Amino acid sequence: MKKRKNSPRKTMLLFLLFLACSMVVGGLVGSMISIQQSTVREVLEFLGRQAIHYSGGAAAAVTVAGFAVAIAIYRRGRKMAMQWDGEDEVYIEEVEERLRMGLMTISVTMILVFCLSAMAFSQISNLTEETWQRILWPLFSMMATMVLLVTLERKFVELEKQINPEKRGDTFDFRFKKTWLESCDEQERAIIYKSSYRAFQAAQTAYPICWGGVMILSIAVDIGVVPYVVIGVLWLTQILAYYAEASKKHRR
Amino acid sequence: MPLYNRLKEFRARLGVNQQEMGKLVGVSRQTISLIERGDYSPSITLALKIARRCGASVEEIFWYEEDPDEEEEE
Repeated sequence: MKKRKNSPRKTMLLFLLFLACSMVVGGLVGSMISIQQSTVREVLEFLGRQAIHYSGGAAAAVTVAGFAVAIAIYRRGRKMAMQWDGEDEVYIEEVEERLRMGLMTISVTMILVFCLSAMAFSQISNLTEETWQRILWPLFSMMATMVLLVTLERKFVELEKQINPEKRGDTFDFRFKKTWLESCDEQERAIIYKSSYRAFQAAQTAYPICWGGVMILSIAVDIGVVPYVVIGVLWLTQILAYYAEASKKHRR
Repeated sequence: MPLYNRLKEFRARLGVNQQEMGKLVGVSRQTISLIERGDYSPSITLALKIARRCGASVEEIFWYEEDPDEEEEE
C-alpha cells in the first residue's frame, strides 16, 4: 500500500495547529499555576527541601545499586565471552549487547549520582554542625562513584577489546573517545554517527520542553536566571557544534 | 534497495572465519557478519577490497534486486 504524502500546505497547517495547541496548553497551565500560586509554591518548596534532605542518601544508594548491577552484567558478560568459540556470531552479539547495557548502566549511575550529590551540596550555604555531616555522605558517594565506575568502565572496555582485538584506546587517556573512533570501521562509525544524531534530535526536543517547563514554574517560584542560562548554554553549544562540524565536512 | 551477497560462500572457499576475513579487508568481524546477513551494505571501497581478497569481481559477490514497490512508483 502506498503511503499518502501530505501536501506542503497541509504540513504547514498541521505545524501551525501544533504551535497553537502548545500555546493554549502552556497558557492554561500557567494560568492554573498563577491562580494557585501559593499552593504550588508551597508544594514545590516542600519537594525541594525533601529532595535536598534525602539526596545525600539517595546518591549513596544509587552508587551501590548501579555498581552492583554493572558488575553483575560484567561478570556474566565476561563468563560468556570466555566461552565463545570464535564463530557463533549470534552468541557474541548477545555478549556485546550485555556489555553495552553495562556501559549504559555506568553512565546513567554516574549522571544520577552527580546530580543528587550536587543537590546535597546546594545546602552548603546553610552551614551548621548537622549540615556538615550531610555534606560528607554525598561527597563520599561522588568520589566513590567516580573511582568504582571509572574502574569498572575500563574493565568493560578491556573486555570489548579482547573480543574485538582491532579496537584501541585507554579509558584513562583524555583522547580515548577519538582513539576508539579511529579504530572503528565504516560500519561501526555509521552506527555511532546515527546514534549521535538520534541523541541530537532527542536533546533538541528536550531543550524547549525544559525551557517551557522552567518558564511555567517561574510563575510560582522565584528560580532566578541560572536555569535559563544553563539551558541556553547547553542548547547553543549543541546546535553550534553541529553546524560547525557540518560546515567543516561540506568544505572538505 | 536490498543488497544481496555471496560473501559467506566465498569466505568458505578461502577457508577463513569472519574474524580472519575482517583482518584481510581491514574491518571488524561484526561488519563481515552484518554484510553476510544483508544487514549492512559496504561502501564501494570495502566491496572492492572484499572482491580482490576473494579473487572475484564485485558483481560476482554482490548484487541487488529492485524493490517491487519502488518499481510500481516509477
